[in-house]
Amino acid sequence: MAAKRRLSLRVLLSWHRYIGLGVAIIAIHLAITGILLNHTSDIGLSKTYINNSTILNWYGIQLPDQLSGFKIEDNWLSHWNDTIYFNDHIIAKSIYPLRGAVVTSNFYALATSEEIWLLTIDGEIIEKLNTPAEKLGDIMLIGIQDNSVVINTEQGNFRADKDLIAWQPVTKNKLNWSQQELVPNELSDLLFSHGHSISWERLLLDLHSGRIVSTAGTLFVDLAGVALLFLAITGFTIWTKRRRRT
Amino acid sequence: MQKQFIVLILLAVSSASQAGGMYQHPDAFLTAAFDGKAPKPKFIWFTGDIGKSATTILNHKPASLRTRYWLKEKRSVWVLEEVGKEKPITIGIIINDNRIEKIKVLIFRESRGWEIKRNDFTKQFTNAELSNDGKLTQNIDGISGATLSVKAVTRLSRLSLYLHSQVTKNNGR
Repeated sequence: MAAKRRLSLRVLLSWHRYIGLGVAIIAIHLAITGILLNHTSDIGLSKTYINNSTILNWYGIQLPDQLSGFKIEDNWLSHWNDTIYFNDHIIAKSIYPLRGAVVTSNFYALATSEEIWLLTIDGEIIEKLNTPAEKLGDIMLIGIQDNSVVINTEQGNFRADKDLIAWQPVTKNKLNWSQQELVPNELSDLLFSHGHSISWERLLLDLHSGRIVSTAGTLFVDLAGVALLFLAITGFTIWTKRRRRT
Repeated sequence: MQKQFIVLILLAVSSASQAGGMYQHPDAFLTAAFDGKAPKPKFIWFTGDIGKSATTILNHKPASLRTRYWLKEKRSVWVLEEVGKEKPITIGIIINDNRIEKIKVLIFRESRGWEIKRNDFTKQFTNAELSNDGKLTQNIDGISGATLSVKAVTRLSRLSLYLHSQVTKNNGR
């Protein structure tokens, strides 16, 4: 009986040792990232953004050589990293590509592939309008014709009424479309340096949870968690068994 | 044991595949809300007291200066956007006689929290009203892992009830 108990203790110790060795690096990683995460606000990591191109590439963010945009009067409208900018100010997030911008008598109108946004001359959003994309298809171009907003979609050219509610087909072939241009370097450099949302806090969080390598990483950290739980239980069991023996 | 593991993996994959996207186009929601006979939209501007109240309800300035709504007798329809964590969630809300008739998540762009689109979550808002202190009269149970999305929907439901009360108060209501 004593021999059997010794054997079971030896097996437990052996498992405890090997799993302990296997999970040690993960435990150190979790401890360091966990401690840092507890203090991200104190050390300003939540508001410090990553500029390292390798890390940004990992997140699928590639800093382009040049940025294109649309010039309306003296202002630039551009789209980068799911964000639409009015000069160097963020207007709003948009996952849809920017198709152009025009000046009407009362406001600026900006088109993404799915929506039209009305802006004040200071770049403040008056309203976001969903075009009937189901009927007209994605917006490809936006322009202005006889003071009305016109769009080119997968289904052809359409002109809006004054409230931008109803869209009528336009047969006229020559329409003035908003043209894409290269954004001046000074402005694009400014946008690239501040224009993404990957903070050091986000990186730490993704490292800590394993999400940095998608689902596989999360599952790996989950497994490490189970292993740590196993270590805690076997550690306690071994301690109890040894105590009994002495 | 192996079978159970495979079932678990399949469940995880299927739940991940439900995330994000356009569930219903706002126009389709509007058409369905009025049985294909939607009235002309009207605007409400977030200026003055309305702007202040909207800011209080949302905990931030509204993302636009005005929003559209569709009103027919006691019913109004609102298509509103609010950021959950990082990206805007588009919600369609029908208010009938100062109560929520229906809430539907139309477009979900966040990577997590899509569970708010489920009917058993949105049904909790049905018949909710705005109390005198600006809260919902019904308790809304949260969803683990979707806290910010739940808060966004709750804020928009309160905002739409408030806006409805403003646009109908001159109709003898």
